[in-house]
Amino acid sequence: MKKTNLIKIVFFFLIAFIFEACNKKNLDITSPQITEGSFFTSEAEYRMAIVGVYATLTDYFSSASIGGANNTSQTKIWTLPGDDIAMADNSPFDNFQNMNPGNGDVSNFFRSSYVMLNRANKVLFNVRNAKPGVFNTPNLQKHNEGEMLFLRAYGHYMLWNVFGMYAPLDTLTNKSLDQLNPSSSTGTQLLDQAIRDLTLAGPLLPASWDNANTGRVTANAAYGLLGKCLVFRATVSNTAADYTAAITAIDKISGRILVPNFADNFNFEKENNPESLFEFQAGAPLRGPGQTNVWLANDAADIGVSSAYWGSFGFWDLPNAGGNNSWMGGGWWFPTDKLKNIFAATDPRKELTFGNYAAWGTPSIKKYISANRNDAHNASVNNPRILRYADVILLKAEAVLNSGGSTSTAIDLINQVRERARKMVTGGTVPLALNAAETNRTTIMQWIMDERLMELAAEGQRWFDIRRWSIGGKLTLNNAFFSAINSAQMRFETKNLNFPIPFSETDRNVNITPTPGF
Amino acid sequence: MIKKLSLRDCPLVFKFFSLLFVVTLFSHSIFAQGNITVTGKVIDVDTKAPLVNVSVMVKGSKNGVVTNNAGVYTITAPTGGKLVFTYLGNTPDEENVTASGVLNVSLSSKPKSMDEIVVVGYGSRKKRDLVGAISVIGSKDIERSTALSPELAMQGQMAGVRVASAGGDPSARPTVRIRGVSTMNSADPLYVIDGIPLAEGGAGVTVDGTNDPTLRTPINIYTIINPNDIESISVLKDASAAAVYGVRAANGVVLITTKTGKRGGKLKVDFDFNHGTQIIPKTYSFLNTQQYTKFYTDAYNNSPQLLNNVPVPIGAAADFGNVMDPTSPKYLGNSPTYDWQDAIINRNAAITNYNVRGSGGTENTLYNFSAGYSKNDAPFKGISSERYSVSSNITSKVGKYIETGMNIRLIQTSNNQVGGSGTNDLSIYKAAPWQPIFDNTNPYGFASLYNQTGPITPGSFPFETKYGRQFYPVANYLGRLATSSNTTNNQSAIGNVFVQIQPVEGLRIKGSYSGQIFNIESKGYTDFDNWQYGETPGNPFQLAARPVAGTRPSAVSNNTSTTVNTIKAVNVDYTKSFGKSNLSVTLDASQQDYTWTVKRASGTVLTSNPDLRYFNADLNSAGTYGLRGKYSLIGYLARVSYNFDNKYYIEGVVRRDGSSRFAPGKQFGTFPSGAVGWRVSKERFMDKFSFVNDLKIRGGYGVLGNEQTTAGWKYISAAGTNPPNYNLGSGSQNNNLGISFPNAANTDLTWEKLYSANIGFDAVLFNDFSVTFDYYHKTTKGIIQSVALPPSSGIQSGYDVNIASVLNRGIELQLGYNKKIGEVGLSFSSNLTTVHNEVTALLNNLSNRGGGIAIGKPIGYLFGYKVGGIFQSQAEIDAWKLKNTDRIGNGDPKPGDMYFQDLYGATKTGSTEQNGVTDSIINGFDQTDIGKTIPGFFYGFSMGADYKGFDISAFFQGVGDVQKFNGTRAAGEQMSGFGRNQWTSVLNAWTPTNKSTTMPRAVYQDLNSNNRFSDRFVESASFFRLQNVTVGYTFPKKILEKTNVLQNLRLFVTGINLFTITKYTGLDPENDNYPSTRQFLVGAKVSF
Repeated sequence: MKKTNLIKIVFFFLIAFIFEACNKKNLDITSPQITEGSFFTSEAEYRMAIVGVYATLTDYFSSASIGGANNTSQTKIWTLPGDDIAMADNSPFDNFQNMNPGNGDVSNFFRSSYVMLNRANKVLFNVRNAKPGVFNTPNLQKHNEGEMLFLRAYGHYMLWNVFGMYAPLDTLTNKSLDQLNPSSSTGTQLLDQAIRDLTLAGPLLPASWDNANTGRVTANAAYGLLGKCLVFRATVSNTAADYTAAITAIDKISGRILVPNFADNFNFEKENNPESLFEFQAGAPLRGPGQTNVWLANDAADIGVSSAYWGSFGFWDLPNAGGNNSWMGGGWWFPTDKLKNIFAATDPRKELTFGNYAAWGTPSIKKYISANRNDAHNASVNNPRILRYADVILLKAEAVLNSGGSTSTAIDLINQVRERARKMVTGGTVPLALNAAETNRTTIMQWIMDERLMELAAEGQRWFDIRRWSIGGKLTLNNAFFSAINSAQMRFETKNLNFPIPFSETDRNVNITPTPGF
Repeated sequence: MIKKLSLRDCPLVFKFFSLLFVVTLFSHSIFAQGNITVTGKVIDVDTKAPLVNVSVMVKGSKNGVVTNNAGVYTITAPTGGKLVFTYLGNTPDEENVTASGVLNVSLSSKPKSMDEIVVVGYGSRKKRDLVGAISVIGSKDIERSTALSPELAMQGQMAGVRVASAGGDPSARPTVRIRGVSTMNSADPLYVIDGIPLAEGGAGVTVDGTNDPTLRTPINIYTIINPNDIESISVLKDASAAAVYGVRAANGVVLITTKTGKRGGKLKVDFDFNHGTQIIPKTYSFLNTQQYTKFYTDAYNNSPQLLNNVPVPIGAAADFGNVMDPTSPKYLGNSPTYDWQDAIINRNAAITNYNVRGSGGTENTLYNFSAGYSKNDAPFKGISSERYSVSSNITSKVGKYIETGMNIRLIQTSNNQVGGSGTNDLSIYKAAPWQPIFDNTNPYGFASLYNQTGPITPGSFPFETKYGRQFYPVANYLGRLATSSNTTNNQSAIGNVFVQIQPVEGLRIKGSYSGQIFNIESKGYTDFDNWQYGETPGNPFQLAARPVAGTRPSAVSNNTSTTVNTIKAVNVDYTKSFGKSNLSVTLDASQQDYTWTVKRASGTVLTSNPDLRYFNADLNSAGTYGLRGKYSLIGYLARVSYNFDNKYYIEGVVRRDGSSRFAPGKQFGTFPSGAVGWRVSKERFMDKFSFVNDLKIRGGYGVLGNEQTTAGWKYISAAGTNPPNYNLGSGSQNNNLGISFPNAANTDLTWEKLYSANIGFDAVLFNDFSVTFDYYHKTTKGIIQSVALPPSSGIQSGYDVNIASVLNRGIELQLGYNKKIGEVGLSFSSNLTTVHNEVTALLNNLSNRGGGIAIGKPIGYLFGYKVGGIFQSQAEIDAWKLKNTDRIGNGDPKPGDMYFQDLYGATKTGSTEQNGVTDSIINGFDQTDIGKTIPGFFYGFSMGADYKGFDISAFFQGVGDVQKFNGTRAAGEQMSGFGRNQWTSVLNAWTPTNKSTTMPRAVYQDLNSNNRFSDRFVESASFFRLQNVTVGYTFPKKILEKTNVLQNLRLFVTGINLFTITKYTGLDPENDNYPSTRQFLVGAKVSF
């Protein structure tokens, strides 16, 4: 081959290289992930996005919630501070000692709540702006809108109960950098938003879902939570109109009853029963058995773990391994003396709420444990009941009583709950029916408070109740009130009515007001 | 599809560049001159001895010969032409062909520092002609390191380059930082091996921040470069030097050049060998069983929490239990003490290196082949690394104008690490000292942590702990080792081919295709019986999808991470001298594509046979994971260098880069730089300063880019990588797959830019003394940071935004001295670098102080409380509490507890500034700057002497002005937990009779929060280390000549990491539980 030819061949080879290297199109590489802009094209895709919003509930209730692992479930935030459960070990959630804005559990809860709100906002926007023809099933678009409104309301409800007015409101769909530093809400703004959303959600939602979708939000759930939010707002701002509105909302609930057996409300085989309004749907994790490990932080709303934390006990304490104590992280959980003493001796609910085990010499909480299903690694697949009819009946009693309604109607509502408990035992006489002739509203209010303590003990309702009653001046909280096991270690102050806005927020958001006192 | 070949796609510079091709292609330059035979002798200018193997070339041609054993050469050359004499790496000496045909030449046999050839990006320069800031080391300094990978060879040897060792694990990645830290994350430099820019999947910021770091595997891929194959390492430090690598250069560029054959040389075979052992220089001192029992009993009794609740001395059976109760039959306080550190240390851990290299060249072909074997048994049992490497490069001329070449490098390494979560370092001292290690009755010979109380079936897992509940034992590492394995194989290759035309003298046009594949496979095996040695045992059947009672399923996992990186490049290089002017032009166009693919699967097998483990694994039972990342980068480069009479220098570089990580329209960035130099010593007025042999002042300024801090596609709202899911349905609930869009899209995201200025000088004084000084000032602007947004945004992923600015500035000083006094040769060299690092801008001026980022502070500074002191009496507490409230502890301190300083008040609303008005409340706002983690300075110096055949050298290095939170001490002196053993220093804890002012009291649960993150555990991490001492003997040539085979023979003894001076109380200021090993080696270098 002649040299010049060779040079030319090499030359053309090089030129070809340049043109290849010059092609800017080579830089346009498709994202390896599904993008929001290309999603939301079918009902099935909407369902996936909606499942993604429900999945944020996992953070609240799962053993493997965000930052989860062993001692750090978020459940303790609303379960431990009340006067129904106490610990022997030192926990800031039990005795308020060392509670500060650096607390990791509080920080995780704060974050999880806003993840829930952000996802709900995004899907809500896309549901409302769905392209024509995407939704074909009648009413599905409305149902989906209602679900998103409900979950957004639930997030705001939880934030108000934990942080009070110091948490910001979040109803923005798309956020730009300048919208990222919201200021604190004021007064009951968070509850107001929840009430607005739930008022819209009720008429949009179905009465029930088909078998494959059991567990999704229903109209009953929306009316129940609406009633609850109204009673809460009324408690702290003493507005009769809210109580009246609460009664109206609760009366819209249809088809719900107090199931004959109180224990069915905590039995994994009786999930979503006729007493249920809304539950966290615990289940075996997606990735197969053994993949839920309560000892590890699975960073989880996103990882496919959906076991619940109740029933996550030390392996040596599983009932089937001969153990009896309830371990909810950070130590052993016991009923307070107040809870132990408030039940009539033979109230059937007593033995179902805590058992007295000779082996340990101490009664321990067993409400969700007696009929539990444990998954591998000590996780529970029993649904935590978020809202049930008995709770709502007692709220209605409270609303009737405090809106100036008939005292006998209020007492009758309390008695419905007591009657169900009594009738669990054939020929049962305890708890006795309350005297319907009583007219002292303070006495009746105390009955409601006591009944709520007994009926809803260890279900994560108690702290929110005594917190709102305290703010509304219905009772006075002090160290003695909590009936702690280790009373010398109690450090309750008024500031503890709110958990502190975490440093993770105040460090980044200049507009937020830090919770005073911390 | 037909691709449209349009010049419109290319920037102007490339139209010019293409035109240049055409011009050069048709311009013929023909040398038509008469030839003459020239002969002569080459001798050493100092010793007058003949020099062998000196390359003699006809200038402007590829004709060349070498001198024979008598230093004599004969060559045919054109009359009036020039001959170029090159010896070793020295500056070629040019001489005119004499009419007589006789040309005797004297050359220096040792290279002058200013004449060394330095590899710069896309070319090379004489050191004397450099205008940018570049540090260089040669093979002699590189060989000093015994590490598997090249980074540690740079440690302490190069100004501006800080290498933090990764400890004793031979396969771990060291940290390399050039001139400070220019960005908050992904500050690793670019590595370029023989012109191939490497890319490693999982390095930098990646799409899946949760899984990617583990998928990348902990193996250091740069072990692909056998340090023995390296000719030199150049580090490009400032913009004028590094701008040729534009987008990837902001963190500096490490150019590694490997050895090649020498033109005209005969086949030369070098054989290197060394062998040695390594030991752990220091271990923890921990409590023995008696001390431990007393310590925890006391700490327990100090806790009011438990005093209220359960009887002392030892609490309920479920808590501390009867193992601590002297009256109980289960009491363990009289047990012997077991030394776990001692048990896991591998005595006589061997290090072995063999390397053989053959190289040579004919007139037209240069070749080099090498092969190496290294084995490094780490100082802990079960860890080892073994590498086989081969490399070859060959270049050949095809005719007069064309040259082609090929370069290939292959390695196979296998690394062993223990499987499972066994503690494989000295933190194993935390075992309760009564926890036995060995057990003759156990089939594996190691003590299990549990008593099995019945048969294990898929549904039941009956066992009990051997100790009280609060005494979690540590995993039995040796038992884990016997029942698991974790092997990583790295089979990787780098190669390139090129073809180059040289149509006229001075012009080279080169096309190259380079590739690299890193293939790292990790295999794990955990035997069915492994559970008994773990801290959190699980039923081994859980890992099987369909467990069969009576079988023994064992867990296996397999992870393959593959990075494929290809680079296409065309390069034009033109050099021309006219009169006293010297011009050099470089143009380059390249495209780099890389993909990263990971496949991971795990499951169970029913065999323990190592040969069968990875076949027929029941992969249905558990996870599979796949990932694919794809990136593309296009770059155009133009560089013009000009100097007049080697006196005035000017150089300009423009690079334009496009990256697939940004949104269309934001992909391209332009990075210019310029530099000037002035050789002052060439000026007349310098003549009177005769001690100044050479002095050059230089300065440069330029812009560099960095794209590594964004994962790409951040301009799109994309689905999260772990799909959320939720159970729905009545009866048996079904899991439903969901989706979420957890990030926020930033369509404005663009390049982060580093503005870098450098000024310095190079000088040679008194013939033997060399000085290089640099001042650098670098500001990174628009740093792409994945900002953790306020949680109230609900946005889960980091939000990538161009926000922060960081300043790095400092000086570098490099000194060298070489002198021969009689028969004694002396050499000394040293370097010093200072770094001032400061964050100068952040998003909305928001600091992430807890994460070590705040305006005015160096990256990674330590943020915590300042200790005030220790309460010595209740009276002191009462007085203190009158003024102060501590909101972090329980507010009820006891004598012996610590108090902390009240430094700031609550932040004012609307501000993130720390509020200097104190509020008598000690809370989170009182945390402050308690230390910096970027060293303020680092240095190295070496000295050597030789006499006749003997040589001795010592190399020291160190860092200063740096602090570290001693996390190991924080655990070892925690005094608040249970079960874990503590350092013996806790015996000095405060008690009413031992009123310590530094060590608080031991109290179970630490109610006062003495252990909060404070300066209590912050220590100076400065150190000064004797890194290397070598004594060698080279046999005289006269003796070797008699063998007729050996050309060179040197034997040596080396000690590495011989002593460290530091105030740090841990084992090693660089590595806490895995200190760098002390090594002793003997070795030989032989040439045939």
